[in-house]
Order: sequence, then C-alpha cells, then structure tokens
Amino acid sequence: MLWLHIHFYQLTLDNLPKVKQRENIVVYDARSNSIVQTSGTAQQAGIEPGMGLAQAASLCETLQVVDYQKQTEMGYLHSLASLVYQCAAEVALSPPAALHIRIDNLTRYYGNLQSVWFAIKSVLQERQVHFHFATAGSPEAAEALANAGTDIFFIDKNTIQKALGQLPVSALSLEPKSLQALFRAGIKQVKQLLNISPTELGKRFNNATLQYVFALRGERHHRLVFYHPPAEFEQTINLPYEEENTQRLLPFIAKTLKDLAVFLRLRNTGLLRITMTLMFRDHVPFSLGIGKASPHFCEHEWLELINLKFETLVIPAPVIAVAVCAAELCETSSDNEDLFNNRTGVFAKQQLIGKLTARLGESQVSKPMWPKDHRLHILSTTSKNADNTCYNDLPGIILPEPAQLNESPVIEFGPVRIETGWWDEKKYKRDYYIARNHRGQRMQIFKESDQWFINGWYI
Amino acid sequence: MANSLSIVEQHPAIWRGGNANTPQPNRTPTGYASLDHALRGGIPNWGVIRLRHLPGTGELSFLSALLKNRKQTLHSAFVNPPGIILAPWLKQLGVNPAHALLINTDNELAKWATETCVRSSACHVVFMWVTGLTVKQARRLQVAAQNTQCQVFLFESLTAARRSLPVSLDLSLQPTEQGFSVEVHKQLAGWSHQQIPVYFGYTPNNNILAKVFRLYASPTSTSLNLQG
Repeated sequence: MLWLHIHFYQLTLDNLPKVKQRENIVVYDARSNSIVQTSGTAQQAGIEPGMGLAQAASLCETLQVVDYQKQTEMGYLHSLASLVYQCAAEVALSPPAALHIRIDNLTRYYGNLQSVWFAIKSVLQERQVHFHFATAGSPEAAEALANAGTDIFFIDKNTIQKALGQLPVSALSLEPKSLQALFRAGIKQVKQLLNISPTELGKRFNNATLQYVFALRGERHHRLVFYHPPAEFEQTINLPYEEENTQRLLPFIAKTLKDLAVFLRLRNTGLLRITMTLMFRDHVPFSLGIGKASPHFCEHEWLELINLKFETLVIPAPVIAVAVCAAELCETSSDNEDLFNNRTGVFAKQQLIGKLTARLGESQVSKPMWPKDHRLHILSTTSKNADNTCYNDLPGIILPEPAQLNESPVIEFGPVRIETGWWDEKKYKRDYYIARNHRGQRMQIFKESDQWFINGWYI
Repeated sequence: MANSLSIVEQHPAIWRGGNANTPQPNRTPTGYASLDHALRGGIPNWGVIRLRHLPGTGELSFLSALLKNRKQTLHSAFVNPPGIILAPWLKQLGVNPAHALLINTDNELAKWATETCVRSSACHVVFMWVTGLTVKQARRLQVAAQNTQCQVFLFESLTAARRSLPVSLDLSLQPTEQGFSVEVHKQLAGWSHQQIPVYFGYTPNNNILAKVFRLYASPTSTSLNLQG
C-alpha cells in the first residue's frame, strides 16, 4: 500500500482574495492564543507560527490579523477533498487541514505512479493552494513525513524507510507524555523507535503509543473513513471584508459556481434553481431564489442571471457572508433533442424567459391561460378541455376587476346569457353585451344589481 | 426634348429617396387593399411600427391577417397589455398561445423587457404598450429589430401628443363606423397619406336579428331599440 499525505498549512490564507495574500497577514487562533498561519511577506518579517500576537505585532507594524475559524477551514477542506475526489477514489479527511490519499490502487487507471501524482498535483495547483506532501507505506508514516515538510514523492520502500528513520521523534503525532518518555529513554530518532521490539515497547508505553508505532511500521490496517461527496451542494463564502455593493460579490460567487459545475458534472444532473442566502452582521439573513428554464448548466449564464437579480436588489446592511445552495436538481436527458433542428431557437427562448424572470420577477412573466369554464376569471394553464370551446364574443382585453360604466354606449350585440357555476359557491348569471361608445371604442358590458359594469375591451 | 430632371438625376451626387442604400424590409400585406397600396405592399417585416389608436377600436384584430401568415415557431411577446389576454382569443387572432409571452411590469422596465425580447432573436413580433418612449430608445429598438428581423408594434393613444420617432412606420387609426380611417404620418422610403378608409368588422353584431325583426315585426309593435 502506498499512501499520499497532503498537509495544507495555509488554508485560510489561500482562500482570501489574491490581492490580500501579498500583504502581511497572519491567522490567529484565539483558543491557543497563538498565530497558526502566516503569509509569505509576514514570514519575511520574521513572524513564525506559534508566536504570540504581541510578539508578532512588535516584529511587524502593518500586520493584518484574520481570525481562525474551524468551521470555515473544514468547509475549505471538504471542497478540496471533493476536488481531489475527481482524480483519486480513496480520499480521507484528516482534520484540521490534511488529506490522506491511497494511490497504489490507482496505477491501474493512470498507468504509473508518476501520472497519479501529476493528476493530483495539477488539480491542486489550479486551486493555487500551498501544501506539504509525502508518500509512505501507511497513512501515519506519510503524515509524519509531510508534517516535517518533506515534499518528495517516494516510490521505493527503502527510500521511504530511510527518510522516515531520519525524522526526529518530535515529528510524530504522539502525546507529549509519550514523547517525554521517549526522550528520557534516549530515543531521539524514529529509526531507533522502529528498531525496538513490540514487547519492549508494550512494557513501558501505553496502548495508544503502541498502536501508533504499529501503524507507522505499516503493520496495522488503517481505520480511515473515506470521503463520500455529499448529496447536496451547499457552500458558504465568508467574505474577507463587509461588502455593501452587491455587484462586487460576483467574483466570489463565480468561484462557487465552478465548484457547482464539478458537482453537477459528477452526478450528471441539471440545475433548475439556486437559493442564495445573504448574511449580515446584525440583520436576519436574506434568502433569494433564482430559477432557470433550462437545466443545462452554463456558468456564465448563471452568473448573468445572478447579476440581473442583484441589480434590482436592495440590501439593508453590508453583507458578511453568502451561502449558495443548489435547491432544485433534475435529470438531464439530452437524448431526445434533435441536435440540429431548431437548436438555437430553443435555447434562445429559454434564455429569454430566464433573463426576464430574473430581472422582473417570476409573477410578471406568464403565458396566456385558458378559462376553465365560461366564467372567464377561473383560469388554468392547460387547454385540455378548453380547446374546443367556442367563445364568440371574447374581448381581447379582460379587466382584472370589472370597472363601472360611466357613459351611455350603444349596444351592438347581445345579450349573451352566461348562467353557470352552480356546482361551487360562485354561482353566476350575467347577460353580456357588446357596446360601442361615441368614440368608437367597443367594450363588453353587463348589468349587476342595477349597475352597469365593463368586463373587457375589444382590441 | 429631354426631361430636364433626367439631367439632374444623372449627377452622381443626386439620388432619389426610394433608391437609397438603406436596406429595405420586405412587406407583408395587411389584407386591406387601400392600405396596402398606400404602404407600398404592406407592413414592413421588421422594424418598429407605431399605431396611434383609441383603445378598444380593433387595433390588434386588424393585424390578424398579418399574424396568421407569419411562421409560428418563434415567440410573440405582449409587454404591458392594458388587461388580461386569454389564450382562446389569441388563438382566434392567429397567434399560437403556447408561443406567446405576457409581461407585466412598470413603464421603464417594460422598455428594457421589449429590448431584451427583440435582441434575444427568440421573438418574431413584440407588442408593447408603453408611454413616453424617447427618440433614443426608439432608435435602439429600431436597430435591434433590424438586427434580429423582429417586428415591434408600439401602441400609443391618439389623445397623447404625437412625438416624431425614428420608426419604420407611423400610423394613426381613427375609428369610423365601418372600421378605420388610417393616416400614415411617415414611412420608410414612402410618402405620408391621409384618410385611407379601411373597412373591417371584428366583433359580432345583431345585424341579422335587426333585419329579421324589420322584416317580420309589424310597424306598430314596439321596437327593441337595437341599432347596428
């Protein structure tokens, strides 16, 4: 078995916008009261992980501090795991910021180990994350090597043993008590540790240490839970600063849309609806949904729809985070569409409807409806029964509410008595007339309780 | 004797309005001979056509022949109609209701919606009821309609002051007893015309009943007060 361990030592910093990464930034963990991640320029100033905040501030004046948040880091780690999952099958998360990947069973697919490494490396480099890596016969050994900053892709077992042997014992993930005990016993290098027989180890050290040493040697079967990509797509983007202008959220959302594209492609589904939640510091989070007529996923189309939606959006406070959730997925069945016939027409129509609903709202764009019966205001979207009904005197424009008739037109046609609706509560008995006023306008009128009303106009 | 104007015509810098280099749209006949004659064949196949009218006098129904002849695969959009338009009426008009879009929004967004529909090349005809269209906006629509070969019918009230717009065709429909009296204010590569009578009826009436009554009712019996 050959395991690759990748340790991301700068996760929070890597997910900040590129401009910020060139400045002096450190990530500070409030719980351990120390600095955990430093940017390149901060390191040049002399700041190292493990320092206190006061010491760092004294070394560098223009220091910017970002809070370390475990939740967010786990989120980034998950998205990296789903990224690597595209190349490798057995990926395990190793919190707080590392991945175990089994690579010996991938040679069948890639050909040789170098190609495996090349595939994983290119996927990670596209993301522009910083990491240390190493390979070994067991996950724990690989972890120890990677944490020491080895950065060599070993293939040969002997080379691995040699490199592992040369590590100091402090590089291993043992409890401090056990480490102390090992120092006192005179074991400084891993080589010495591996040479001791298990019975001897068992006499002096506890079970946990023993198990760890077995794992290091490769004698214990791993007990890792492998990563399974989640069934739902939900990503939260924590903005590095509060943003008042919704247009400037678009670059962050574009990044999430790329991950969404991968998510959909791996599952071969289409996306019909996205729910975006904007979070504010003091206000209640605000959700908005954006739908699209065609399930085929196209990044720039979605970005344009989101842009259109944002144009008319007014936010009560600056945004501190955005959560994107894929709300409605559907199967993509592209085998029943003729590739050449009317292709541009179909896409253009769907795009148009999408654009209009994004800017104007879904209730503002509709298709004409069919009346279910002669009462005309009870409408349905399908024409199942209404197709053959003949409306002799249907006005072109029907007013949503009948308006009062204030003039005296001349009746041209009528009466047409509609008496219906006896099966539900809205019983109906009206005589409709077509009338023309002195200006030549034709309207449909009816009389109800001694008052004349206009129902519609004949355009 | 040579026609004195022919010498002028031969000058390379002089050209006639009808022979200008601007692309001329093909025209579809409206079905009313007098109007088609005045419009040099009919309504242009693309461009903005303004119809000044009084609402409810048959302004859309009189385009029925035009709409029935058009190919039906693309959408027809209705932007800000003055009320609810039902599918069976559209079917009678000649528009496939499955390919119709109804858009209701405020005036300024309606102009944006029309432009989006025209530019999308998914619509072959757009009917818009907006007020206060400026010269610049009309020009944009005209150019967009030319690019995507789309007809845009702008409905304006006769009572609103007429503002000259850069459109392909500018008509006023004055209602008369028998139909319309059409005034062509201006048209692309054509002359303006006054008072073209168009005879059409688009609503049912009680003429037959009145005829029957006149024939068989005795002169002394009370009439039913029907006209038409």
